[in-house]
Amino acid sequence: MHIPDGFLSNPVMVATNAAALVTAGFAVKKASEDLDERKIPLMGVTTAFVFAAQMLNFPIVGGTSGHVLGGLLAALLLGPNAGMVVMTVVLIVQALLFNDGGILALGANIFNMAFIGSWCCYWVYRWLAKISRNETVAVAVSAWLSVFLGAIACALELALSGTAPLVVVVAAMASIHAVIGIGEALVTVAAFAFLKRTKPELVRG
Amino acid sequence: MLDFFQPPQSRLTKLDSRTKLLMFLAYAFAVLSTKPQMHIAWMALAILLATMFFAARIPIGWALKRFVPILPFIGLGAVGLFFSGSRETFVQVTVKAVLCVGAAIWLSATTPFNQLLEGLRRLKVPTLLTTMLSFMFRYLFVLAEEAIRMARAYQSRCPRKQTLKDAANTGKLAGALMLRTYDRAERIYIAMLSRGFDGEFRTISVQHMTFADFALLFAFAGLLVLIVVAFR
Repeated sequence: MHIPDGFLSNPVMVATNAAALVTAGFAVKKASEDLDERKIPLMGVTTAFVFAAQMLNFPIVGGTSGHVLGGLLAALLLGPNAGMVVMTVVLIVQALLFNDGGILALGANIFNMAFIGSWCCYWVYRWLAKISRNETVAVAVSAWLSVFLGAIACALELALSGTAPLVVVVAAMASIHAVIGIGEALVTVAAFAFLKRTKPELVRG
Repeated sequence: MLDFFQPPQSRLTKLDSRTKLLMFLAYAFAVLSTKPQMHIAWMALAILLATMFFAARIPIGWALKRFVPILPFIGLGAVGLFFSGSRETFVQVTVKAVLCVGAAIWLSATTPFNQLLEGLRRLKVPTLLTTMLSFMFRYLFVLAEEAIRMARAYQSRCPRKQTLKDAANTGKLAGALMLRTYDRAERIYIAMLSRGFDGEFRTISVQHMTFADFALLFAFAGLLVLIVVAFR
């Protein structure tokens, strides 16, 4: 889902970078305000954790494999603002060190995976947890959405840029990530339940 | 895993990281500002990039490995081409992506990450972000190796594929990794406190923008503008 440079047209690039600047700026500001210095090392190591967790692959049908994105999990552990900062940092490192995602497309990637995948889906989770009274269902659905909606946003950006025809790119991304999302949901639910059982004070919820 | 990050040493390593960061950004901007028919400009930009690689003494194999992440997107573009997309768009997107990723590879090959971080800090990126970046980089390898070790232990005990169970177990592995991470973070925090940490990193700067930095930066930017304007 990491868009490389060159795949977005200039207007889309400007728009997504502006959107990312505003949303990530807001999250960084909020997170710095709420954060006591005690939490800084924890947050830093959590960032490394999300990065490492993305290396845990699980197989999907047909020889492909997906990996955890961890956006919702980060938000569940640290809250939406800090969760978004964590995802943003992970994306910056991936762009600068691993060439995974472009530098001028960074805004789009932050928007898709940090803002939609972490920040927005955290509030979806809160809302679902309130109306369904079932935490597991809420975690599962919002984890699935965090992958699916991110992929749809990515597909729309590519289509708007004229890189690929709308129907094709949306169909391809949606079908692949609907499956990856199931994996993400299972992983997030299992990790969340595991942490809640073994170390309840760690989970913010 | 570490060899992936071991950049080759060259004279470019000694330049200020801001110079290289800005050169990289300028190059990416130049590539993205080209129009679909500017084949000669692409050639010139590619030759420029090749020269940069040569000056930095980057081994070809080391660089090629790092092109892998963009392959799925080129594949997606090819699928689009197969259905209805125009060939011109596909060629343009592929060329631009390869050139930009090439420039990013050049940046990571010439600039050690701690220098890059200092450059970002000096370019006024918010403190919280740079602090997170430096923490992350410091523990990345430790945790990634831990993750790989856990994955290998899991595979050797559950070699058969069972998609749903695998995903759920991956969740438990992630949880266990998180616990180890948390314990480590607590120990680190106490150790840092005892050494007088108060929430901010204070680093000694070893980098300065010298005359050579400015000269290279301006020459490079001038060359890029020349290429983009002359071959339009």
